[in-house]
Amino acid sequence: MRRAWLHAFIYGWFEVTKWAAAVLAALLSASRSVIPASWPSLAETIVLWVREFAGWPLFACVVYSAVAFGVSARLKPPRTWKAIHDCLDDLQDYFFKGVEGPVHNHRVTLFKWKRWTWNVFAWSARKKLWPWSGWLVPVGRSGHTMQHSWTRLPASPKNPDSAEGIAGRVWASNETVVVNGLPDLHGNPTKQDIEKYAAASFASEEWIEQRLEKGSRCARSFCGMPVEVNNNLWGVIVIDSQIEELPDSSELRRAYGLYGRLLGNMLQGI
Amino acid sequence: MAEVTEWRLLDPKELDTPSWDYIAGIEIESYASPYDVPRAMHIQRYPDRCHLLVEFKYIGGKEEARPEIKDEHAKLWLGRDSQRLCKAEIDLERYKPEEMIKLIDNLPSKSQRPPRNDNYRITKNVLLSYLHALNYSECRPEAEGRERSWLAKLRTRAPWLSK
Repeated sequence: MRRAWLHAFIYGWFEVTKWAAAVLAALLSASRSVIPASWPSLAETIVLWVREFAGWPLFACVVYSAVAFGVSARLKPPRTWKAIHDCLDDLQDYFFKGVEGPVHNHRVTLFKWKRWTWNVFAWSARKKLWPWSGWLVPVGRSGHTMQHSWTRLPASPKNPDSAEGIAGRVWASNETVVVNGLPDLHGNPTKQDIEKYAAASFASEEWIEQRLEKGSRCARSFCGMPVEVNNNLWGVIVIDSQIEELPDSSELRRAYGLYGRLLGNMLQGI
Repeated sequence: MAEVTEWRLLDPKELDTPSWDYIAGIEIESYASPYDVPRAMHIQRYPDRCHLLVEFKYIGGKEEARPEIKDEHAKLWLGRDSQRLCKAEIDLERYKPEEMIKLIDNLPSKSQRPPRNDNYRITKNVLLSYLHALNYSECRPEAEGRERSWLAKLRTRAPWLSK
């Protein structure tokens, strides 16, 4: 998942340097004739001094400026990501109002569908899957804990049946899926419990066992809904909780009806 | 006669009925995508021309629609990107419920990504229920009785439309 400070730094860096590179490129390409007579002599001296080094630096500045403009447009400002995070927090508050237990037991996670993943562990552990097979990647999560995740769920357009997890199922079927009453795997779960959990959560037993070995939590209830941007399927949003049964799913869907359009607008270009 | 225009808000809770599946004894509840359930329908009726234009509004926002299916009694517009049913124009003089059903049921056979079957199922029910409740006897007095028995089945499905 995206690290906020790293994103803010990279975005800020490219925001500043794209203009710096553009101005430098303009200076390098400027000729003496375009320098207004009203300019102070020092400015003229600087421009002419910079012109001495034109050539490859000019080309490099133009290319860097173009790349920096593209990257900063792609990254989106940190305030957009903050608004998306606030939206996920609001959904979490709304869904689980009045539910007892720590807030981090109830999560709202946003997954984006991507053609490629560079996470070697994701595809090397699964048969007949490649980095370009199609994956659901978590890009945002409610709350302030468990913000980093290396989870990559297969979601291949060529083989939708192989889509894994509730997120994969939602993505493949383009439906809202609600699963309640999954077995409690904390403590010493039996083999039967793991089998049952894996089957009902559309995951493989190996993956569930790996999660348990790492001490990762296994939610007991899920609700997944598709996310569309510009009327195209963009990804999915998954609500998971440690409680056995989620609050009224019609309320969850109603709340998402209020936020869905807003979220879709914010996610444009991401 | 003047054109009649009205907006009707639709209740997604009533339109979107779940389907259940059991895996390893655990209940999996499935609903349509929230983007496939219309939030409102806009109705334009031209009584003098016995024509009806119905437009659906979704949470995904407005989208350019193209007339994809043309029949002698109806025309269906699908969203350019989403392929959702956005608009339907119906000639009330020639309208037959069974042909309308066939027309909408044939839509999923077109290749789509992602599948929009739920959208077609829901909008079909909304359209047929609305048409059932609509009085268009002036357009075709002889056909009204013939269709009554078939459409009566739909009354139980969407009682909210007759309110």
